[in-house]
Amino acid sequence: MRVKFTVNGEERTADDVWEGESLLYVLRERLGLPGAKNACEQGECGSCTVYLDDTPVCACLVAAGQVQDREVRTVEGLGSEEELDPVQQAFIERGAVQCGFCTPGLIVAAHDLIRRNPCPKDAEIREALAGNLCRCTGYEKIIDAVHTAAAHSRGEATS
Amino acid sequence: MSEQGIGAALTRVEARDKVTGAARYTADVVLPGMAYAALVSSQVSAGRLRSLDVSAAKAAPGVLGVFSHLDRPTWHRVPAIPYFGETRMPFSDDRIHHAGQHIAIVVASTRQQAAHAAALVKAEYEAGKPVPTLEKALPSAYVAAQGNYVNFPQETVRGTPEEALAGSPVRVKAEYRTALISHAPIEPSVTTATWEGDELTLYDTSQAVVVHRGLVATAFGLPEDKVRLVCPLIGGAFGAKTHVWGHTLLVALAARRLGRPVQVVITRKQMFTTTGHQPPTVQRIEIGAERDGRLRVITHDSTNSTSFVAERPENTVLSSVATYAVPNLRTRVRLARMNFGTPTAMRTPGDGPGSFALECALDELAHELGADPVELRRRNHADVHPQSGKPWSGKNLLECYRIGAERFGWHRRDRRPGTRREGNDLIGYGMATARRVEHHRAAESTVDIRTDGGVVVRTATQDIGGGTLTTMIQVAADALGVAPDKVTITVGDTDLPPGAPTFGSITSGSNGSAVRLAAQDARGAAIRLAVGDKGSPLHGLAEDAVDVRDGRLFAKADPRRGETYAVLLTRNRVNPLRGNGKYSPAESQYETSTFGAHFTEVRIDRDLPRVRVVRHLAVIDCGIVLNTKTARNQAQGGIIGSIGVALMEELRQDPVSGRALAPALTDYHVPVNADIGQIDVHFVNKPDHNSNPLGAKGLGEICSIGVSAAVANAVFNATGRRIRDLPITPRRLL
Amino acid sequence: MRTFSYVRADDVDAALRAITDEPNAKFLGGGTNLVDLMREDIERPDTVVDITRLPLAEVEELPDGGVRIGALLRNSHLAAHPVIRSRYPMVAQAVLSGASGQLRNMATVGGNLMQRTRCLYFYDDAAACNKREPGSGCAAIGGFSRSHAVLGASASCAATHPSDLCVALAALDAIVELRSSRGTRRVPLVDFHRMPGDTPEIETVLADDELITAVELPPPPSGVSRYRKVRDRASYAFALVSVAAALDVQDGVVSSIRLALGGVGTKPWRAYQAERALLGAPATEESFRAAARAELADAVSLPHNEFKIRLAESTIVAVLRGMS
Repeated sequence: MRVKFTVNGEERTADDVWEGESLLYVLRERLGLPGAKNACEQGECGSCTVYLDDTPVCACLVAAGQVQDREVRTVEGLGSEEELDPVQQAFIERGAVQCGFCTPGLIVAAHDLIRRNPCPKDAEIREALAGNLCRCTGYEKIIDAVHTAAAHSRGEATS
Repeated sequence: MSEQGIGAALTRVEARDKVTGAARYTADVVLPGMAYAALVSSQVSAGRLRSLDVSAAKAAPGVLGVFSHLDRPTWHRVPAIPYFGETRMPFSDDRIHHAGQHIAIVVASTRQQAAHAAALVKAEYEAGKPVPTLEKALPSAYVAAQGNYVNFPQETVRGTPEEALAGSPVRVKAEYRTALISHAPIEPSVTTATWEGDELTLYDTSQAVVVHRGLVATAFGLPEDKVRLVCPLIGGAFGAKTHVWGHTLLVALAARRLGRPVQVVITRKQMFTTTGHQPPTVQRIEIGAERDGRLRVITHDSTNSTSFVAERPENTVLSSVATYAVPNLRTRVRLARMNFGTPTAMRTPGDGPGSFALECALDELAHELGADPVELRRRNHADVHPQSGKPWSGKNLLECYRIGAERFGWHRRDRRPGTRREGNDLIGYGMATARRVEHHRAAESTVDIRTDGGVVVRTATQDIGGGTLTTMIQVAADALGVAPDKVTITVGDTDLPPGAPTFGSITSGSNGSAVRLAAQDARGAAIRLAVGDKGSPLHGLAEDAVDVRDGRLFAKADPRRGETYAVLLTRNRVNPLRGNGKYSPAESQYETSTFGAHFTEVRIDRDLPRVRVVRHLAVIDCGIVLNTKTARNQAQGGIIGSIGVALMEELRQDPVSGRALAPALTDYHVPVNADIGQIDVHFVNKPDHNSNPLGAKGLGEICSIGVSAAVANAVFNATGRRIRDLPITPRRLL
Repeated sequence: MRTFSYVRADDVDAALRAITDEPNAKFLGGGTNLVDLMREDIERPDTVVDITRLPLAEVEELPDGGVRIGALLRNSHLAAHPVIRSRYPMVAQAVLSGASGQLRNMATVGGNLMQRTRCLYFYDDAAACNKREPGSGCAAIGGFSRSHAVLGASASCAATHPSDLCVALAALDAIVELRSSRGTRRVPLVDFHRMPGDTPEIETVLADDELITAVELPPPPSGVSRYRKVRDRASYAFALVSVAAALDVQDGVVSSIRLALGGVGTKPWRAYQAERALLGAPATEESFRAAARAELADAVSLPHNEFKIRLAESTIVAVLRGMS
């Protein structure tokens, strides 16, 4: 089948898609966007988190056909060459990155959290990001990074 | 902290690529004409394949080839163990040793087609009677003969342990069990293989490209220089990528047969069943002590499971051999074979389970004596290595205790269990010692200074997430006297000078030393060039009268007199100026270890007893810290990993077949963000120059050793319940 | 994953036609369970009918004070809905205690009712499982049974129902609305799921051609309500035990009680026996414990799940104590 949808603001088409392919597969293998990671293929680890119509989902559990005419935003679509998104910047500054395999999914999940909750408390961050497993583990620094990004998004200076 | 690099909280150099999705991992490698493989796994855990019908798979859309033992692959030789996982080469016969064993490889034009066709392979088994679990294997446990994995004394005797026990006024004796646990890195193992004639290139998730090259070359009967292994970034490993496992060889085999590049990303299930695990252990410890707490004797008897295709003992007993000053000792390690995949090194091999048993036993002794657990450990401090009697190259364990107790507020601990409460919560404090032998490996590096003032480090180590790229840059920058942002690094490729593996906590010390030597070599050459160059303002000075800072060489006596590396090299038309570094660990008069102390606070709801670690403090002595930012982060991660080991991690087996049950991240619980309380890490941060030229020692493992015991000891302090089996789930506390 | 065809339905009638016309068809909602099971080769539909674009995602307040929840409402939207949060906090708590943010963004209310068990043997294609392969036996009963049910199990199956939402819905007397080309029918949630008996593969009363279109909640019970889940880690794990409770106490006496259990039953478990024991009893720890024991009197444990009986008792008592 043919699947047409918008990815990071651009209309994209994938042809000869097999029905059993996932959104993750289409992004990584057909559209050349390897930012979202393939790690568990069962929606458990969160490494493949992308926005689907503005809602973070596990791309590995979205059947390709379901994205027809919808909008997808991946980690590659956050920020720009010139200016990183505050979440990306904060993850770098706060040292919230280790092996980096969970990072793209975490960036999207944290980005969504801050949009919904501009001033999240520790417990809210921990619960909101519970679906993103990190094994290295940057959980402590990830919390710092979310606070920093949230403050930045609110227009506050941070130290 | 050096202004030039070492110790600075430098931001990870590859962080930007990792947050934008630009970072490329092994699964992101795409080669022209690449095909994709899927591996077929055995469903039974023992017996043999009666038949294997691959006709439907071969006829499936896109399928290019299906290979199995029926194709009788000709392996040249079994590679050396350790670092090759098993004594049996994949597909060498029809025998099944564990569920999940690779029985066929299917290659197709797309990943989906390969996965689909793999499901069409029909295997019929002549099922044998498996030894399903360690429990069932225990009656046939044995002491293994030396060789291969069995590379440490399986039995040790010091003094007269039996007599010492009989004469001890205080004795504690207990049996501890640790669970079958799994590395569960987020990135699954991946191999891409491509041949050009007789030359093989592998893009492989490898913690040791140099070591693994040799193993792959042996398997295919190739000279080492005909094999190239590439792996710049790894998405976590924890030991799962320490060894070469079957999939790597099978993909290379398939690529050769098909004459095109082949890639496999193994499934999450296969990660759990075919890339090793930490085996379960049963450990019996008996301690005899004086009434004042001085240890007279320790006996430590440990059994771990191993597979039918490898004998791999866990060196749990080293904790008892090398941690405390105890005059009498007896240890023994036994193996018990079960029908499960082969175990391997997992953060932290030996010392993880071993310290759990020993440090819990010491806590039991402290309770028996009415002594403070920290004081008991101080009293038994090993001033020299307790087995060899050699001095330590550097040891600041007493300082770890002191700083830890103070910062944690250890004095607030009530030594009567179950006495501290807040609302419905029971509160407990626990602590434990950490100790790990520092390993050394030969490593080489080059450091190039270019005419533009840039510096390039080249060394075939790899970054598994610990921050190696960044710390190696800092080491080079520090030794050269340049700003770290002038330095770039290339790693993870056997075409580079052979670097150290990234396992066993050896990267910082060994590879760091090689980079330091290379940078010093380059710096020395530059200084020699300058003082011998009539065109240089430094001409005629003695070499040791010249210093370098911020890329500028200058006279120590007159800092205004000098020039930059760039100007010097440009004028002399030297590009690049190469420094070579070769670190070869020598026989040492010292024993080298890393040390630490862990302090933890748990809270437990009386009705619904799930243990929450609300606060943990680690004080770590790992020599000089190369980068406080990456080090703290790595240490926090090690602690969190071990909190998982203490409280939730267990790969459960079917008691009848021994199969791993639903080997998936859904059921194999690792800590999630919500599980974690406050984790503090403090570094003693004193260089250990007796250990290596750099004075830095490994961190990746010492940070996680002892954590599970500290948690269990805190649970005892909170509840009065001594849980000797990991993990400490709500079920065990009810 | 097997080959299948994909059909997208734009309205309910088209969906009902597709499910009837296409051979061996299944509805695809959020996909969080079905896609995973298809990848594991446990579900093998020949056609999936994508229903995510049907207009069934509203929350409607009903004249009698209840609400009607569209079956395709996403779990995260359900938990965030102001009416649910203010009047049925137990539902919001139950939803938020399940899965992860990403999965709740995908999963639908109707899909949650159809969620299949996380029995480790159900997922192990090498093991005997009557639910997966009827008649093949049950490897769990003689195997590792820590996660299994102590209430409602049969000799064929002891798998627990995995949903959190359904436990809350059971406590609230929810009604499930089902539609097919034959018409519409309404089934109480407590009757929607079946006990395993000797046909554990048949998990609900839903007919092959029926679509869940809505779940209706009657007006909320009086008093306070709560959902509490006990699990092996702080978040993102299936329940060892969960309790949905609504309690009203007048003059120290229980005047209204709703109680349902998760993690211990082969279906979302409405604790009628405990409710009977509590109604009119003094709101004391002793009554709570006696009620819990009454409910658990018939519990049968396997070798590794005996702890669930004790844990269920202490959780029920802790929840009711906290509410009274």
